[in-house]
Amino acid sequence: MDDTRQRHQQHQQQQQQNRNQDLADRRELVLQELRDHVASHMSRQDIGACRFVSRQWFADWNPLYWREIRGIWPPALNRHAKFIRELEVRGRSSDKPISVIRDHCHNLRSLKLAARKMTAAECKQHIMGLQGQEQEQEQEQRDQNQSTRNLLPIDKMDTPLKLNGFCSNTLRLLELLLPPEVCDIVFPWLLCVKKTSGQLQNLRSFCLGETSITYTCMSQPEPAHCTLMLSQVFEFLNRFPSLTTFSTCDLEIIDDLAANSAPNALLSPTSSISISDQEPRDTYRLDALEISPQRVSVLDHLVTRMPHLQSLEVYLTGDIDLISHIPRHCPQLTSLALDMYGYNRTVTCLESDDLSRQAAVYHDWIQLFRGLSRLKTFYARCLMLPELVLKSMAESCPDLQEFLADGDTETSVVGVVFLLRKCRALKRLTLLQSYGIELFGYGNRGSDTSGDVLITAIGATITTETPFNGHLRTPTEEGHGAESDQGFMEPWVAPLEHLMLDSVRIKNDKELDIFRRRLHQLTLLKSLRIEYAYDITIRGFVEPEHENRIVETGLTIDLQDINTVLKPPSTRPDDAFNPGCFQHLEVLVLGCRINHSEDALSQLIDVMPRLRSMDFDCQRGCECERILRAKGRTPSP
Amino acid sequence: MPVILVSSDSQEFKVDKEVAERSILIKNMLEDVGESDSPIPLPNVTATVLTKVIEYCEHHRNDPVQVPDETDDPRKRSNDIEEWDMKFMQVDQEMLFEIILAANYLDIKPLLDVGCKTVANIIKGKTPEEIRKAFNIVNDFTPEEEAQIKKENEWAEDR
Repeated sequence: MDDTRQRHQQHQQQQQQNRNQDLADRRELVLQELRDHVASHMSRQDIGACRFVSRQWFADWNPLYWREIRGIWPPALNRHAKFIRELEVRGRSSDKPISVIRDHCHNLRSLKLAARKMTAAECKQHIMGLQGQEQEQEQEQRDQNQSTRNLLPIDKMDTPLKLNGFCSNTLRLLELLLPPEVCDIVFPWLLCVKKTSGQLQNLRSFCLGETSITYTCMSQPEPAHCTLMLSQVFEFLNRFPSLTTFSTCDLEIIDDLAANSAPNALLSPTSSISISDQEPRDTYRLDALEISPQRVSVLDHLVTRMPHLQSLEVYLTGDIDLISHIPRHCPQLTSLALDMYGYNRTVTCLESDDLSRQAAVYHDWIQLFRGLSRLKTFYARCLMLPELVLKSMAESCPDLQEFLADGDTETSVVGVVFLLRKCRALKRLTLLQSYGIELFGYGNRGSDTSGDVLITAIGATITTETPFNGHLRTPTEEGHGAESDQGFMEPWVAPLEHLMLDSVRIKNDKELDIFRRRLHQLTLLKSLRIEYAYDITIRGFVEPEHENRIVETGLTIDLQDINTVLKPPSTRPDDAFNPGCFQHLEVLVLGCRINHSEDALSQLIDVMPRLRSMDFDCQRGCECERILRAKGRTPSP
Repeated sequence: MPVILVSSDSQEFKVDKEVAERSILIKNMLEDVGESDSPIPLPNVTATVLTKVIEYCEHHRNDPVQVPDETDDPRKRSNDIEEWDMKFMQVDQEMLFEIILAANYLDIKPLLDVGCKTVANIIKGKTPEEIRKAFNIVNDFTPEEEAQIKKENEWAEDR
């Protein structure tokens, strides 16, 4: 009996072990099948830990660990290069990694290389696999002594190309930012590669640009050393018919086609263009194009053959007339980026009282947006965007979701406020300029002169019925006078989720209160970034009486109390009670240079339940991260 | 109109069509067969797991179709699981993996996302030894292999 019982127990134990093993096996099977999906939610460190678990886990997780490499070159890359699918490298050309890409990274899907100081000779050696005569002799000597895997025959395009990671058939995206003299040789080399070896069959996105031009505000740029002929561009597009994205950045494209600039004339029998290679086809399937056309004919030749174009980025260095050609040829655009770096702009007052003159000077710009009714994103670089131009954008582009104006762009504050009050789809706003409180709202009319100035600055509007007759109205005429006396703050209709400003200067507590009230209206805000937030204290987020309690006593306040305190006084009817303010805020970055206490920062985090990234003073990012972790939040970079 | 689902162990489940169609697989099957009372066999899903899946679909029957946010970090977050989903996923590991497999088979992306996020959260922040304990894995590396892997891991920062 005891034997039977013992055997039974042993049998049960064996069964349990078998079940445990089955469970372990099935767990591993599930992870193998779904590890990609799981890994997409994990950091590289966590994936690295999985590599360490067992040999099987190493085999499963190692390819995922090496799948994306961005910005940093791992020392063991040679061993695992075959697993890399996305690679982004920025560095000196003399670094070994460039050759490693060529020799070992043969399964890349995406390659982005920025090598600012690469020379043409280095490009030939490291990218193309071609070597100089001296090196050839040295290499031949080494050949006799030992074999090396990385040996590349001189000027033998066939053999190197088969092993060249820059030309792999797995590549779908290739982005090269190189000095001008290197761009000069890379572009024709890639053409040759495609023509002679049939490589790069799956390329869908191509970008070639210069890295040596330095930007200075409102000054003449260095001349673009590398230029492309339009015929070369067409030849490239003909060789890569599957391309959907083509970008030559600010490499100037010269029109070397027939003297008759009419696009259709190019297809006539009397055309001087060489047959087949460089002859433009009727249509190209591109949906994104980035170019720097020397003149409007270049733009016309290209975009009239791209009926599917959705995104256009143009560097305007010469022919400003092409502004009017964009809506004419590409009314279907959903994304537009214009860069006027280096162009001599006519400087006019952005907040001019003479709107008739403004309308005349900026007629083409106003018409630009009137012809792009489907526009969703607009990026402005080195532009002048006065009131009427921004108003045209607001009224003509109802689907506008994102507007970015870089630090070299000048924008009318009145125009920006109009955008915010008109654009019902605007979620992302980036204005890399300096603003005062006038951007955020009205102040109280009365003895406070700063309030009077605010109303004067932002109260001037144009009636929608007569947009360009220059009639100015004040808030009083619009019926806002009474409310303005009580501090009326017309809400922004734009459902902003991301707001980024270069600098905001707040002068006093009254302005701080206005800033806070405006922020409380932005209940959908997910990220707020102000690089230079002069004198924006905790008061910019919480009521002043409450701020004092936090700062002075460091009391712990629970969320219910916070919402009670955030409710505005009844004398401010415009401030709708918004228990949801800050509820979605995830990122808060303010370069305010104020030494807030840890308690103050901690209490601020408490009113922002989703906050996962905070830097309140550029120098204290680590401290903020520590506070976030202490509160159970997982900080994100 | 109710739909009858049949698990691998022949148990039948009557669910509203709206609930069943949270599964793209079932939705496509229903579109293919048209108006029919025929039960839909699910040979890869046991009754126990199917019960849980139906519970999830019932709770989320009115959820809108997921639209990926282009502004999201490409490395997706896993700390945004709803409270109900979090409690729903508080099951033993065996059931967790069964649910993930079922969600994958039935093509219920939100459930698959939640399941994978849950697994990711089990792994996150753990040392290799803690991961081994969590999943009952034996370390079969030699010390030399471990040293090499450790050296390779050193370069990476959380990016």
